[in-house]
Amino acid sequence: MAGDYFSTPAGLPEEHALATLAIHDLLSQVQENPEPAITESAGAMPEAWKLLARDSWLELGAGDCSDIGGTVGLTRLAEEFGAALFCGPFAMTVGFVVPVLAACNSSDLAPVLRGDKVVTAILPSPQKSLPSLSWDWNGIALQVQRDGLVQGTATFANVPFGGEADLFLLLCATPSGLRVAQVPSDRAGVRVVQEPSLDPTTPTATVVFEGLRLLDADWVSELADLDMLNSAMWRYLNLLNGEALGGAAEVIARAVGYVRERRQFGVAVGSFQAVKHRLAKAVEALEVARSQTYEAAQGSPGQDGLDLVCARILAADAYVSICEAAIQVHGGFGVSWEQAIHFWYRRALQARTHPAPIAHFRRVLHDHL
Amino acid sequence: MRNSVDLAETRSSFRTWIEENLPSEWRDLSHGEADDKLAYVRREWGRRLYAGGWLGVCWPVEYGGRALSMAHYRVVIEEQAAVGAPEPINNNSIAIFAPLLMTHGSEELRQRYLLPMLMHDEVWCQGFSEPGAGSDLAALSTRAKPDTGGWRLTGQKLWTTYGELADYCYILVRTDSEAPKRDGITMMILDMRQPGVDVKPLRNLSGSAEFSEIFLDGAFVPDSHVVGPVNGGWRLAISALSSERGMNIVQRGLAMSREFDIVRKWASGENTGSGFDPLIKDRLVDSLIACRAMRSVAHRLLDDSVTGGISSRLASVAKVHWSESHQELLRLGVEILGNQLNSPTYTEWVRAFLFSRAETIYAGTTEIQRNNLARDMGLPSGR
Repeated sequence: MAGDYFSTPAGLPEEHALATLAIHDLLSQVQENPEPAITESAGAMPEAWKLLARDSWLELGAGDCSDIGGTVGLTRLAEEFGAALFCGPFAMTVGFVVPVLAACNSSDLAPVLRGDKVVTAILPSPQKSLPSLSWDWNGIALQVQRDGLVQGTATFANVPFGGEADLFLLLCATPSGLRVAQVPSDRAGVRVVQEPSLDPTTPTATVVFEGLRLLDADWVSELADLDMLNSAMWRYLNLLNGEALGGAAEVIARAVGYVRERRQFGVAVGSFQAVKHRLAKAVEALEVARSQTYEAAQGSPGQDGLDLVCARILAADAYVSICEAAIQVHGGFGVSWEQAIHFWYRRALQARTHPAPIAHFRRVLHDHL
Repeated sequence: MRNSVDLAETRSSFRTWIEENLPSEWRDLSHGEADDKLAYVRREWGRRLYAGGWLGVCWPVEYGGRALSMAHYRVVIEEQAAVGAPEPINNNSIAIFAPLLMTHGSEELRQRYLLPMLMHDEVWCQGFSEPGAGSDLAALSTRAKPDTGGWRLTGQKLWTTYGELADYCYILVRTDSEAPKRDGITMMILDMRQPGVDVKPLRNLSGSAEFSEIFLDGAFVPDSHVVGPVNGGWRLAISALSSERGMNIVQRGLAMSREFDIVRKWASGENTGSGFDPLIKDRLVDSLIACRAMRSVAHRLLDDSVTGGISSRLASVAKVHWSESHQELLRLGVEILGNQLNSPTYTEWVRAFLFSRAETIYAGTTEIQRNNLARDMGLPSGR
């Protein structure tokens, strides 16, 4: 439905178009009508996840994706997931978890790629440093003693798919330095409290680590390669931006469809300039955010942090403002549960808080000035 | 030979050429500049670009171009934006009218006019808007009546940039008053140096007078100077305007980053040691994001032009985003100046800010762009 408001970056290889079609078909199969699925399942969709894994789409995270145009191509694919309000950690897995596990040669990579295990990560806020955007890894690191015992209590709220995850990927500050670890969600010392997520398609949890003891098998890396982690965050953020654009495109398509049909005063309400200009502004916001998102995705993690921060802000702001415009032009139906725009609106609002609130990204720009 | 010149080499040699040919006092000129100086610089820069082989790089060789690719054109635009180069005075006609002439004009017209336009031996203006035909351009009423061997033009054109300097005007006129309004319009080439053409400067709100009014009273256009079919001018004009709207924005959009740097410097309090005002700083962040986004939109326009064409949607988005965010940036600069507003040092900036009100109006108002976007969305026409 959102096809009219999708756009493909110039210069992507033909394989990308094929991948987009395949993904689109797969998402249509599993979510032909997203509303009931969203309302009833209110959480991750294991069947759909298996299908994605079966067709090897999770492996996109393991390489440079050059066959589909690299991170730009991947970002464009993420738009399909955003439009469909896909209930699963696609961006997290392909953008962050798989790249990290692959870089660390982790034995847990295979079950993740097979869809047998779902992994979510505890992620940091951006640090005030440009041109290369870095992240406050120390701020999220568990303090771990030499014997593997985690000191004190560490609480992380708003962890996407925290309740559905089999494993948590996290960073630990050990006496020898920062290391990446992976901890089963059912381990003693790990407490997962499902949150009443604003966005039911991205269920979140508060994860508490208290009295946890890490085992030798939990370590994913020796000393953590922060450049590698920053690169993974860079890719992940690009995918989040792609998801936001896709959701916004879908919402515009729905709003346009509605105002073309809905009649008041004897004419389609979409013929009124007040209505059409509101939607035109929505398209402006979408295309400006999309231009910035493609620009950022074409950059490199070590150099183009400014573009990525701007893209994050523009995509997140556009998604919310577009949903609000769409609700407005739907009139009274816009505030009904049945109309369903609110599912995208919920996603847009919740997405602004992850991996850090948009205000944190603005603060990076303040510091850059 | 097409595409045989390596892009990196092109960039490097153009960069060197710019350093040798663009005086520092010609850089970062704004609409706040005195009319005569700006017009002189823009014409002279056009001449130099042509002489150096850097204007119309994609044009066919027979009309003075080098038949290079759009990718080379991209390099030329990017490098000029990076140093704050002025726009050649014939920029509008080169971008909008020349492609029309190449596809719809006779070979005689192409041979006669394209090269002098590119060389900047002859200055061109555009005769579209009228007192009664602004956003509703198709309502234009300047009449062209058949006369021996051609047409006699009577009427008035408005907002004509550099009308006083122009040697020629590509003009839209009504050739059939009975037909539906869009079907009675023809595009012609008008010689501005003839009896029956009277040009008067039009002082704009900033005090400068690059616009003018053209009064036509029996001015003659020979039959040979009709471009495209008689009564077929509307479609020509619209297609050219929509496809080229985007490209005209590219250089201005890229140049915004330089203007942002100026505003940031003022806001930093470097001169006074006072540091940033936190409230101003937040607005600067908004402008930084808008400038960065404009740069990205410009890159996307360039990418699309290289690979197949700019959509009318992106062209309209670019126009609206550039004009609105540019106005905001210039206004922020004025606010930061505070009580230094009336210092002669900043007169040009203030005038540029005032003139920027025109940017959401010319080349299709913001409202017209939004109507275009709505049409593109398939929304029904209405009011």
